[in-house]
Amino acid sequence: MRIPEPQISFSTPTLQRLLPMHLLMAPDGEILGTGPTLRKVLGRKCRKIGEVLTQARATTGQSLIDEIATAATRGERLFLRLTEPPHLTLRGHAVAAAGSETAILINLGFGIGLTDAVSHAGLTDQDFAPAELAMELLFLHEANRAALSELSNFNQQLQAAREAAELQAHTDPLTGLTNRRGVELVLSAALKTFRDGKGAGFALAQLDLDRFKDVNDRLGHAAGDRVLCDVADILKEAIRSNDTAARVGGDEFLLILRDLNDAATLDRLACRIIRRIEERIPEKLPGCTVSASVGIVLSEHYRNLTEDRILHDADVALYRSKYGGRGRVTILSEVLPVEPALPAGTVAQDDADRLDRTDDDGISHRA
Amino acid sequence: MQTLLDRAIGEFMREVYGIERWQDILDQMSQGLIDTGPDGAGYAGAMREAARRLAKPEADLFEDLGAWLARHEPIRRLLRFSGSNFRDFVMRLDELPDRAHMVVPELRMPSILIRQDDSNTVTIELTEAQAGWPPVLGGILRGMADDYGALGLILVEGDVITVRISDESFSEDRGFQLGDPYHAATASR
Repeated sequence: MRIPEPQISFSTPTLQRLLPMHLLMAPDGEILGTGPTLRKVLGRKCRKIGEVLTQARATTGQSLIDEIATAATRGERLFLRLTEPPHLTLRGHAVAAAGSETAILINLGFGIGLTDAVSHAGLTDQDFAPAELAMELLFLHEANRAALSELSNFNQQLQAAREAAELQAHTDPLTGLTNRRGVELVLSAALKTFRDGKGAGFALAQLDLDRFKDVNDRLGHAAGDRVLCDVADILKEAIRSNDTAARVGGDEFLLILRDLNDAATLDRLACRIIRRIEERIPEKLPGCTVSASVGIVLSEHYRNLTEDRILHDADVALYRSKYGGRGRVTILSEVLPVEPALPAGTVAQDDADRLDRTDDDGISHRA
Repeated sequence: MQTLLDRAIGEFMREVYGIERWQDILDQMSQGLIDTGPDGAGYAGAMREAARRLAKPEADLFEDLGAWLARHEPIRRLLRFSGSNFRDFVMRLDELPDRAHMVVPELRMPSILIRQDDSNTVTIELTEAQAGWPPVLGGILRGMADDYGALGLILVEGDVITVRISDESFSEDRGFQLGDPYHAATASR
Protein backbone atom coordinates (compact mmCIF):
# COMPACT_ATOMS: atom_id res chain seq x y z
CA MET A 1 0.00 0.00 0.00
CA ARG A 2 1.34 3.37 -0.96
CA ILE A 3 1.25 6.16 1.57
CA PRO A 4 0.34 9.42 -0.16
CA GLU A 5 2.98 12.16 0.01
CA PRO A 6 2.01 14.72 2.63
CA GLN A 7 1.02 18.07 1.24
CA ILE A 8 2.55 20.77 3.41
CA SER A 9 1.41 24.32 3.33
CA PHE A 10 2.68 27.19 5.43
CA SER A 11 1.01 30.34 6.56
CA THR A 12 2.96 33.51 5.71
CA PRO A 13 4.11 34.11 9.34
CA THR A 14 5.35 30.51 9.57
CA LEU A 15 7.24 30.86 6.29
CA GLN A 16 8.79 34.10 7.53
CA ARG A 17 9.95 32.48 10.74
CA LEU A 18 11.27 29.39 9.03
CA LEU A 19 12.98 31.12 6.10
CA PRO A 20 13.81 34.71 7.04
CA MET A 21 15.77 35.10 3.79
CA HIS A 22 13.09 33.88 1.36
CA LEU A 23 11.43 35.61 -1.56
CA LEU A 24 8.16 34.44 -3.11
CA MET A 25 7.91 35.42 -6.76
CA ALA A 26 5.10 35.36 -9.33
CA PRO A 27 5.98 34.19 -12.88
CA ASP A 28 6.12 37.77 -14.12
CA GLY A 29 8.68 38.67 -11.44
CA GLU A 30 6.24 40.33 -9.08
CA ILE A 31 7.32 39.97 -5.47
CA LEU A 32 4.56 38.24 -3.52
CA GLY A 33 6.38 38.13 -0.19
CA THR A 34 9.81 38.35 1.45
CA GLY A 35 11.31 37.11 4.70
CA PRO A 36 12.10 39.79 7.34
CA THR A 37 15.89 39.49 7.07
CA LEU A 38 15.92 39.69 3.27
CA ARG A 39 13.68 42.77 3.55
CA LYS A 40 16.36 44.41 5.73
CA VAL A 41 19.06 43.50 3.25
CA LEU A 42 17.10 44.78 0.22
CA GLY A 43 16.55 47.96 2.18
CA ARG A 44 13.40 49.20 0.44
CA LYS A 45 9.97 48.16 -0.63
CA CYS A 46 9.66 47.10 -4.22
CA ARG A 47 7.20 45.41 -6.52
CA LYS A 48 9.32 43.58 -9.06
CA ILE A 49 12.35 41.39 -8.38
CA GLY A 50 14.32 43.08 -11.18
CA GLU A 51 14.24 46.38 -9.27
CA VAL A 52 16.43 45.01 -6.47
CA LEU A 53 18.25 41.92 -7.75
CA THR A 54 20.18 41.07 -10.86
CA GLN A 55 22.09 38.02 -12.10
CA ALA A 56 25.49 37.80 -10.42
CA ARG A 57 26.86 35.60 -13.18
CA ALA A 58 26.16 36.60 -16.74
CA THR A 59 26.16 33.24 -18.46
CA THR A 60 23.20 32.09 -20.49
CA GLY A 61 21.85 35.35 -21.82
CA GLN A 62 18.57 34.45 -20.17
CA SER A 63 16.50 37.10 -18.43
CA LEU A 64 16.59 37.15 -14.65
CA ILE A 65 13.11 35.67 -14.37
CA ASP A 66 13.83 32.92 -16.89
CA GLU A 67 17.04 32.05 -15.11
CA ILE A 68 15.25 31.71 -11.79
CA ALA A 69 12.59 29.52 -13.42
CA THR A 70 15.27 27.34 -15.03
CA ALA A 71 17.14 27.01 -11.75
CA ALA A 72 13.91 25.95 -10.06
CA THR A 73 13.24 23.27 -12.69
CA ARG A 74 16.77 21.91 -12.81
CA GLY A 75 17.59 22.27 -9.12
CA GLU A 76 20.58 24.53 -9.83
CA ARG A 77 22.15 27.09 -7.57
CA LEU A 78 21.23 30.73 -7.99
CA PHE A 79 23.60 33.67 -7.63
CA LEU A 80 21.89 37.04 -7.36
CA ARG A 81 23.34 40.48 -6.74
CA LEU A 82 21.82 43.59 -5.20
CA THR A 83 21.32 46.25 -7.85
CA GLU A 84 22.40 48.95 -5.40
CA PRO A 85 25.63 49.40 -3.49
CA PRO A 86 27.30 47.56 -1.90
CA HIS A 87 26.11 45.07 -4.56
CA LEU A 88 26.15 42.10 -2.20
CA THR A 89 25.99 38.71 -3.83
CA LEU A 90 23.41 36.33 -2.42
CA ARG A 91 23.26 32.68 -3.25
CA GLY A 92 20.52 30.14 -2.87
CA HIS A 93 18.07 28.00 -4.71
CA ALA A 94 14.55 28.19 -6.05
CA VAL A 95 11.64 25.74 -5.96
CA ALA A 96 8.13 25.75 -7.26
CA ALA A 97 5.95 26.80 -4.36
CA ALA A 98 3.69 23.99 -3.09
CA GLY A 99 0.02 24.57 -3.68
CA SER A 100 0.77 26.94 -6.49
CA GLU A 101 1.18 26.13 -10.18
CA THR A 102 3.22 29.16 -10.96
CA ALA A 103 4.80 30.93 -7.94
CA ILE A 104 8.48 30.29 -7.21
CA LEU A 105 9.96 30.22 -3.72
CA ILE A 106 13.58 31.42 -3.52
CA ASN A 107 15.67 30.97 -0.40
CA LEU A 108 18.88 32.97 -0.18
CA GLY A 109 21.96 33.15 1.98
CA PHE A 110 25.11 35.26 2.29
CA GLY A 111 27.93 32.78 1.89
CA ILE A 112 31.36 34.14 2.59
CA GLY A 113 30.16 37.75 2.22
CA LEU A 114 28.32 37.40 5.53
CA THR A 115 30.37 39.96 7.42
CA ASP A 116 29.79 42.68 4.82
CA ALA A 117 26.10 41.87 4.66
CA VAL A 118 25.77 42.08 8.44
CA SER A 119 27.49 45.48 8.49
CA HIS A 120 25.48 46.73 5.54
CA ALA A 121 22.06 45.72 6.84
CA GLY A 122 22.78 46.06 10.56
CA LEU A 123 21.70 42.50 11.23
CA THR A 124 21.50 40.95 14.70
CA ASP A 125 21.41 37.36 15.91
CA GLN A 126 17.59 37.58 15.79
CA ASP A 127 17.78 37.90 12.01
CA PHE A 128 19.19 34.44 11.52
CA ALA A 129 17.28 31.19 11.80
CA PRO A 130 18.52 29.20 14.81
CA ALA A 131 19.75 26.39 12.59
CA GLU A 132 22.04 28.72 10.65
CA LEU A 133 25.72 28.89 11.45
CA ALA A 134 25.95 32.59 10.68
CA MET A 135 26.57 33.59 14.30
CA GLU A 136 29.27 30.96 14.67
CA LEU A 137 30.95 32.15 11.48
CA LEU A 138 30.89 35.76 12.68
CA PHE A 139 32.20 34.70 16.07
CA LEU A 140 35.05 32.74 14.54
CA HIS A 141 35.89 35.53 12.15
CA GLU A 142 36.18 37.97 15.02
CA ALA A 143 38.00 35.56 17.31
CA ASN A 144 40.46 34.85 14.56
CA ARG A 145 41.13 38.53 14.00
CA ALA A 146 41.56 39.18 17.72
CA ALA A 147 43.90 36.23 18.20
CA LEU A 148 45.93 37.12 15.12
CA SER A 149 46.39 40.72 16.12
CA GLU A 150 47.41 39.66 19.62
CA LEU A 151 49.87 37.15 18.21
CA SER A 152 51.29 39.69 15.80
CA ASN A 153 51.92 42.05 18.73
CA PHE A 154 53.60 39.17 20.48
CA ASN A 155 55.75 38.38 17.46
CA GLN A 156 56.85 41.99 17.19
CA GLN A 157 57.91 41.94 20.83
CA LEU A 158 59.75 38.66 20.29
CA GLN A 159 61.52 40.14 17.30
CA ALA A 160 62.62 43.17 19.33
CA ALA A 161 63.82 40.93 22.16
CA ARG A 162 65.70 38.74 19.70
CA GLU A 163 67.43 41.74 18.16
CA ALA A 164 68.39 43.04 21.60
CA ALA A 165 69.74 39.62 22.58
CA GLU A 166 71.71 39.38 19.36
CA LEU A 167 73.23 42.79 19.95
CA GLN A 168 74.12 41.80 23.52
CA ALA A 169 75.68 38.57 22.27
CA HIS A 170 78.05 40.59 20.11
CA THR A 171 78.80 43.27 22.67
CA ASP A 172 81.31 43.36 25.48
CA PRO A 173 79.18 44.17 28.53
CA LEU A 174 81.89 46.21 30.29
CA THR A 175 82.87 48.62 27.55
CA GLY A 176 80.03 48.36 25.06
CA LEU A 177 82.55 47.59 22.33
CA THR A 178 82.12 44.63 20.00
CA ASN A 179 83.23 41.34 21.58
CA ARG A 180 85.20 38.47 20.07
CA ARG A 181 82.10 36.88 18.51
CA GLY A 182 81.21 40.21 16.97
CA VAL A 183 84.74 40.57 15.61
CA GLU A 184 84.43 37.23 13.82
CA LEU A 185 81.35 38.51 12.01
CA VAL A 186 82.82 41.90 11.15
CA LEU A 187 86.12 40.40 10.07
CA SER A 188 84.54 37.74 7.88
CA ALA A 189 82.41 40.44 6.23
CA ALA A 190 85.52 42.58 5.65
CA LEU A 191 87.39 39.57 4.23
CA LYS A 192 84.52 38.77 1.89
CA THR A 193 84.49 42.34 0.58
CA PHE A 194 88.26 42.08 0.15
CA ARG A 195 88.15 38.73 -1.66
CA ASP A 196 85.37 39.97 -3.93
CA GLY A 197 87.73 42.71 -4.96
CA LYS A 198 85.46 45.42 -3.63
CA GLY A 199 86.67 48.33 -1.53
CA ALA A 200 90.19 49.57 -1.03
CA GLY A 201 91.22 46.90 1.48
CA PHE A 202 91.14 47.17 5.23
CA ALA A 203 93.52 47.38 8.15
CA LEU A 204 93.47 45.33 11.31
CA ALA A 205 95.04 46.95 14.38
CA GLN A 206 95.66 45.02 17.56
CA LEU A 207 96.17 47.09 20.68
CA ASP A 208 97.37 45.86 24.02
CA LEU A 209 97.69 48.02 27.12
CA ASP A 210 101.15 48.34 28.71
CA ARG A 211 101.54 47.98 32.47
CA PHE A 212 97.83 47.46 32.87
CA LYS A 213 98.58 44.74 35.39
CA ASP A 214 99.98 47.45 37.71
CA VAL A 215 96.64 49.20 37.78
CA ASN A 216 94.81 46.03 38.73
CA ASP A 217 97.43 45.06 41.31
CA ARG A 218 97.82 48.44 42.96
CA LEU A 219 94.42 50.03 42.59
CA GLY A 220 92.10 47.06 42.31
CA HIS A 221 89.91 45.65 39.56
CA ALA A 222 87.32 48.43 39.72
CA ALA A 223 90.06 50.93 38.78
CA GLY A 224 91.21 48.52 36.07
CA ASP A 225 87.68 48.36 34.69
CA ARG A 226 87.56 52.16 34.60
CA VAL A 227 90.77 52.25 32.58
CA LEU A 228 89.32 49.74 30.11
CA CYS A 229 86.20 51.89 29.72
CA ASP A 230 88.35 54.99 29.18
CA VAL A 231 90.34 53.20 26.50
CA ALA A 232 87.09 52.09 24.86
CA ASP A 233 85.95 55.73 24.77
CA ILE A 234 89.25 56.83 23.24
CA LEU A 235 88.97 54.14 20.55
CA LYS A 236 85.36 55.04 19.78
CA GLU A 237 86.34 58.69 19.38
CA ALA A 238 89.29 57.86 17.16
CA ILE A 239 87.57 55.70 14.56
CA ARG A 240 85.04 56.46 11.85
CA SER A 241 81.44 55.33 12.03
CA ASN A 242 81.86 52.31 9.76
CA ASP A 243 84.99 51.09 11.54
CA THR A 244 84.79 48.61 14.39
CA ALA A 245 86.42 48.77 17.81
CA ALA A 246 86.38 45.57 19.83
CA ARG A 247 87.60 44.28 23.16
CA VAL A 248 88.74 40.71 22.62
CA GLY A 249 90.44 39.87 25.90
CA GLY A 250 91.36 41.38 29.26
CA ASP A 251 93.24 44.43 27.99
CA GLU A 252 93.38 43.45 24.33
CA PHE A 253 91.56 45.52 21.73
CA LEU A 254 91.08 45.22 17.98
CA LEU A 255 90.27 47.85 15.40
CA ILE A 256 88.94 46.92 11.99
CA LEU A 257 89.41 49.95 9.76
CA ARG A 258 87.65 49.76 6.41
CA ASP A 259 88.98 51.16 3.17
CA LEU A 260 92.18 52.24 4.83
CA ASN A 261 95.51 51.08 3.42
CA ASP A 262 97.76 54.08 3.85
CA ALA A 263 100.53 53.27 6.34
CA ALA A 264 101.18 56.93 7.20
CA THR A 265 97.53 57.58 8.05
CA LEU A 266 97.37 54.42 10.14
CA ASP A 267 100.55 55.38 11.92
CA ARG A 268 99.15 58.81 12.81
CA LEU A 269 95.89 57.27 13.98
CA ALA A 270 97.64 54.71 16.21
CA CYS A 271 100.04 57.31 17.64
CA ARG A 272 97.13 59.57 18.46
CA ILE A 273 95.38 56.74 20.29
CA ILE A 274 98.51 55.87 22.27
CA ARG A 275 99.08 59.50 23.19
CA ARG A 276 95.51 59.92 24.40
CA ILE A 277 95.72 56.78 26.49
CA GLU A 278 98.96 58.01 28.06
CA GLU A 279 97.51 61.47 28.70
CA ARG A 280 94.17 60.42 30.00
CA ILE A 281 95.04 57.64 32.37
CA PRO A 282 97.63 59.16 34.74
CA GLU A 283 95.29 62.00 35.77
CA LYS A 284 92.90 59.50 37.19
CA LEU A 285 95.43 57.03 38.49
CA PRO A 286 98.35 58.65 40.28
CA GLY A 287 101.49 56.59 40.20
CA CYS A 288 100.46 54.41 37.33
CA THR A 289 101.70 54.96 33.82
CA VAL A 290 99.55 53.10 31.37
CA SER A 291 100.35 53.09 27.69
CA ALA A 292 99.56 50.87 24.72
CA SER A 293 101.35 48.89 22.05
CA VAL A 294 99.85 48.52 18.61
CA GLY A 295 100.41 46.12 15.75
CA ILE A 296 98.82 46.74 12.37
CA VAL A 297 98.34 44.56 9.31
CA LEU A 298 97.07 45.69 5.90
CA SER A 299 94.90 43.39 3.84
CA GLU A 300 96.42 44.61 0.58
CA HIS A 301 99.66 42.76 1.29
CA TYR A 302 97.94 39.38 0.99
CA ARG A 303 96.63 37.35 -1.86
CA ASN A 304 94.85 34.57 0.05
CA LEU A 305 93.85 36.06 3.30
CA THR A 306 92.15 34.11 6.09
CA GLU A 307 90.88 35.29 9.44
CA ASP A 308 93.42 33.19 11.34
CA ARG A 309 96.26 34.50 9.22
CA ILE A 310 95.49 38.17 9.62
CA LEU A 311 94.82 37.81 13.37
CA HIS A 312 98.08 35.94 13.80
CA ASP A 313 100.07 38.50 11.85
CA ALA A 314 98.53 41.37 13.80
CA ASP A 315 99.61 39.53 16.94
CA VAL A 316 103.15 39.31 15.59
CA ALA A 317 103.16 43.02 14.78
CA LEU A 318 101.92 43.80 18.28
CA TYR A 319 104.67 41.82 19.94
CA ARG A 320 107.27 43.53 17.79
CA SER A 321 105.97 46.76 19.35
CA LYS A 322 106.17 45.21 22.81
CA TYR A 323 109.71 43.99 22.25
CA GLY A 324 110.61 47.27 20.62
CA GLY A 325 109.96 49.07 23.86
CA ARG A 326 106.14 49.41 24.18
CA GLY A 327 104.10 52.53 23.61
CA ARG A 328 104.73 52.19 19.90
CA VAL A 329 103.20 51.12 16.62
CA THR A 330 104.34 48.38 14.26
CA ILE A 331 102.88 48.24 10.79
CA LEU A 332 103.81 45.10 8.88
CA SER A 333 104.91 46.17 5.42
CA GLU A 334 105.35 42.70 3.98
CA VAL A 335 103.77 39.31 4.22
CA LEU A 336 105.27 37.15 6.95
CA PRO A 337 106.45 33.67 6.04
CA VAL A 338 103.64 31.17 6.38
CA GLU A 339 105.52 29.33 9.11
CA PRO A 340 105.26 31.97 11.80
CA ALA A 341 108.61 33.17 13.00
CA LEU A 342 107.09 34.13 16.31
CA PRO A 343 104.07 32.01 17.17
CA ALA A 344 101.33 33.73 19.09
CA GLY A 345 101.57 33.31 22.83
CA THR A 346 105.31 32.75 22.97
CA VAL A 347 105.74 36.09 24.63
CA ALA A 348 104.42 35.75 28.13
CA GLN A 349 102.82 38.80 29.67
CA ASP A 350 105.46 38.91 32.42
CA ASP A 351 108.28 38.90 29.89
CA ALA A 352 106.68 41.68 27.97
CA ASP A 353 106.13 43.69 31.12
CA ARG A 354 109.76 43.32 32.11
CA LEU A 355 110.89 44.95 28.91
CA ASP A 356 111.74 48.56 29.33
CA ARG A 357 110.69 51.30 27.07
CA THR A 358 113.83 52.45 25.37
CA ASP A 359 112.74 54.93 22.80
CA ASP A 360 110.61 57.68 24.25
CA ASP A 361 109.72 59.62 21.17
CA GLY A 362 110.05 56.85 18.65
CA ILE A 363 106.58 55.54 19.12
CA SER A 364 106.50 54.48 15.53
CA HIS A 365 108.59 51.62 14.40
CA ARG A 366 108.37 49.99 11.04
CA ALA A 367 109.24 46.35 10.80
CA MET B 1 48.28 29.45 22.43
CA GLN B 2 49.22 29.21 26.08
CA THR B 3 51.05 32.36 25.11
CA LEU B 4 47.76 34.23 24.69
CA LEU B 5 46.64 33.21 28.15
CA ASP B 6 49.97 34.06 29.76
CA ARG B 7 50.04 37.35 27.94
CA ALA B 8 46.58 38.22 29.23
CA ILE B 9 47.58 37.36 32.80
CA GLY B 10 50.87 39.20 32.41
CA GLU B 11 49.19 42.32 31.09
CA PHE B 12 46.59 42.25 33.85
CA MET B 13 49.21 41.80 36.56
CA ARG B 14 51.43 44.57 35.23
CA GLU B 15 48.43 46.86 35.19
CA VAL B 16 47.00 46.12 38.62
CA TYR B 17 50.11 44.99 40.47
CA GLY B 18 52.87 47.02 38.88
CA ILE B 19 55.50 46.20 36.28
CA GLU B 20 58.44 45.95 38.67
CA ARG B 21 56.72 43.93 41.36
CA TRP B 22 55.37 41.49 38.77
CA GLN B 23 58.79 41.18 37.12
CA ASP B 24 60.30 40.53 40.53
CA ILE B 25 58.02 37.53 41.02
CA LEU B 26 58.81 36.16 37.56
CA ASP B 27 62.54 36.60 38.17
CA GLN B 28 62.39 34.83 41.51
CA MET B 29 60.30 32.06 39.99
CA SER B 30 62.75 31.53 37.17
CA GLN B 31 65.51 31.16 39.76
CA GLY B 32 63.44 28.60 41.63
CA LEU B 33 63.16 30.84 44.69
CA ILE B 34 59.39 30.55 44.90
CA ASP B 35 57.48 27.37 45.53
CA THR B 36 54.62 27.64 43.04
CA GLY B 37 52.95 24.40 44.02
CA PRO B 38 50.76 22.50 41.58
CA ASP B 39 50.69 25.32 39.00
CA GLY B 40 54.37 24.95 38.30
CA ALA B 41 56.21 27.82 36.74
CA GLY B 42 53.16 29.13 34.85
CA TYR B 43 51.69 32.57 35.29
CA ALA B 44 48.83 31.18 37.38
CA GLY B 45 51.44 30.20 39.97
CA ALA B 46 52.94 33.67 39.80
CA MET B 47 49.49 35.13 40.40
CA ARG B 48 49.16 33.07 43.56
CA GLU B 49 52.46 34.44 44.78
CA ALA B 50 51.28 37.97 44.01
CA ALA B 51 48.08 37.36 45.99
CA ARG B 52 50.18 36.14 48.92
CA ARG B 53 52.36 39.24 48.79
CA LEU B 54 49.30 41.48 48.57
CA ALA B 55 47.77 39.60 51.53
CA LYS B 56 44.69 39.24 49.33
CA PRO B 57 42.69 36.05 48.87
CA GLU B 58 43.77 34.33 45.62
CA ALA B 59 40.14 34.09 44.53
CA ASP B 60 39.76 37.87 44.66
CA LEU B 61 42.70 38.35 42.32
CA PHE B 62 41.38 35.72 39.90
CA GLU B 63 37.95 37.34 40.01
CA ASP B 64 39.50 40.72 39.19
CA LEU B 65 41.25 39.05 36.26
CA GLY B 66 37.88 37.80 34.97
CA ALA B 67 36.27 41.24 35.25
CA TRP B 68 39.34 42.82 33.61
CA LEU B 69 39.10 40.36 30.68
CA ALA B 70 35.43 41.22 30.18
CA ARG B 71 36.34 44.91 29.93
CA HIS B 72 38.63 44.32 26.97
CA GLU B 73 36.79 45.20 23.77
CA PRO B 74 37.83 42.22 21.62
CA ILE B 75 37.05 39.78 24.45
CA ARG B 76 33.88 41.60 25.46
CA ARG B 77 32.65 41.38 21.87
CA LEU B 78 33.38 37.66 21.66
CA LEU B 79 31.51 37.13 24.92
CA ARG B 80 28.53 39.12 23.64
CA PHE B 81 28.10 36.54 20.87
CA SER B 82 26.84 34.21 23.59
CA GLY B 83 23.59 36.01 24.28
CA SER B 84 21.44 38.96 23.35
CA ASN B 85 20.82 39.88 27.02
CA PHE B 86 22.39 38.98 30.35
CA ARG B 87 19.87 36.28 31.18
CA ASP B 88 20.43 34.72 27.76
CA PHE B 89 24.18 35.02 28.29
CA VAL B 90 23.99 33.19 31.62
CA MET B 91 21.66 30.49 30.32
CA ARG B 92 23.93 29.80 27.37
CA LEU B 93 27.17 29.73 29.36
CA ASP B 94 27.37 25.99 28.75
CA GLU B 95 28.33 26.87 25.14
CA LEU B 96 31.26 28.94 26.35
CA PRO B 97 33.83 26.12 26.75
CA ASP B 98 33.19 24.99 23.15
CA ARG B 99 33.46 28.54 21.88
CA ALA B 100 36.64 29.10 23.85
CA HIS B 101 38.01 25.79 22.60
CA MET B 102 37.43 26.90 18.99
CA VAL B 103 39.56 30.00 19.56
CA VAL B 104 42.17 28.73 22.01
CA PRO B 105 42.33 24.93 21.80
CA GLU B 106 44.81 24.69 24.67
CA LEU B 107 42.69 26.68 27.08
CA ARG B 108 41.23 23.57 28.81
CA MET B 109 38.26 25.44 30.13
CA PRO B 110 36.17 23.20 32.41
CA SER B 111 32.71 22.08 31.27
CA ILE B 112 29.81 24.08 32.59
CA LEU B 113 26.43 22.81 33.80
CA ILE B 114 23.55 25.29 34.00
CA ARG B 115 20.55 24.84 36.28
CA GLN B 116 17.73 27.33 36.59
CA ASP B 117 16.57 27.29 40.21
CA ASP B 118 13.79 29.84 39.90
CA SER B 119 12.93 32.57 37.46
CA ASN B 120 15.77 34.79 38.67
CA THR B 121 18.35 32.37 40.02
CA VAL B 122 20.75 30.29 37.97
CA THR B 123 23.30 27.87 39.33
CA ILE B 124 26.46 27.32 37.31
CA GLU B 125 28.55 24.30 38.12
CA LEU B 126 32.04 23.80 36.78
CA THR B 127 33.26 20.25 36.47
CA GLU B 128 36.89 19.27 36.97
CA ALA B 129 37.87 22.91 37.17
CA GLN B 130 41.44 23.95 37.93
CA ALA B 131 41.38 26.15 40.98
CA GLY B 132 41.46 29.54 39.22
CA TRP B 133 38.51 28.97 36.91
CA PRO B 134 35.47 29.49 39.17
CA PRO B 135 36.57 32.94 40.37
CA VAL B 136 37.71 33.94 36.86
CA LEU B 137 34.30 33.00 35.47
CA GLY B 138 32.67 34.80 38.42
CA GLY B 139 34.61 37.92 37.46
CA ILE B 140 33.64 37.56 33.80
CA LEU B 141 29.98 37.28 34.84
CA ARG B 142 30.34 40.37 37.02
CA GLY B 143 31.89 42.27 34.12
CA MET B 144 29.29 41.10 31.62
CA ALA B 145 26.38 41.99 33.94
CA ASP B 146 27.75 45.56 33.85
CA ASP B 147 28.17 45.33 30.11
CA TYR B 148 24.55 44.29 29.51
CA GLY B 149 23.40 46.85 32.08
CA ALA B 150 21.93 44.16 34.32
CA LEU B 151 21.96 44.11 38.10
CA GLY B 152 22.96 40.70 39.34
CA LEU B 153 24.36 39.10 42.46
CA ILE B 154 27.18 36.71 41.68
CA LEU B 155 28.38 34.31 44.34
CA VAL B 156 31.33 31.95 43.90
CA GLU B 157 31.55 28.98 46.29
CA GLY B 158 33.97 26.24 45.37
CA ASP B 159 33.07 25.03 41.88
CA VAL B 160 29.58 26.51 42.01
CA ILE B 161 28.59 30.00 40.93
CA THR B 162 25.14 31.32 41.79
CA VAL B 163 23.76 34.18 39.73
CA ARG B 164 20.72 36.09 40.95
CA ILE B 165 19.41 38.55 38.39
CA SER B 166 17.46 41.26 40.15
CA ASP B 167 17.12 43.79 37.37
CA GLU B 168 17.64 43.06 33.67
CA SER B 169 17.88 46.68 32.66
CA PHE B 170 19.35 48.38 35.65
CA SER B 171 21.74 50.63 33.76
CA GLU B 172 22.67 51.38 30.19
CA ASP B 173 23.69 48.49 27.96
CA ARG B 174 27.11 49.11 26.44
CA GLY B 175 25.71 47.78 23.18
CA PHE B 176 26.84 45.25 20.66
CA GLN B 177 26.54 45.29 16.92
CA LEU B 178 27.37 42.41 14.67
CA GLY B 179 29.68 43.00 11.79
CA ASP B 180 33.35 43.45 11.47
CA PRO B 181 34.45 45.85 14.22
CA TYR B 182 37.68 46.44 12.31
CA HIS B 183 35.72 47.77 9.35
CA ALA B 184 32.58 48.99 11.09
CA ALA B 185 33.68 52.60 10.90
CA THR B 186 33.90 52.54 7.13
CA ALA B 187 31.02 50.19 6.35
CA SER B 188 28.29 51.78 4.30
CA ARG B 189 24.79 51.77 5.56
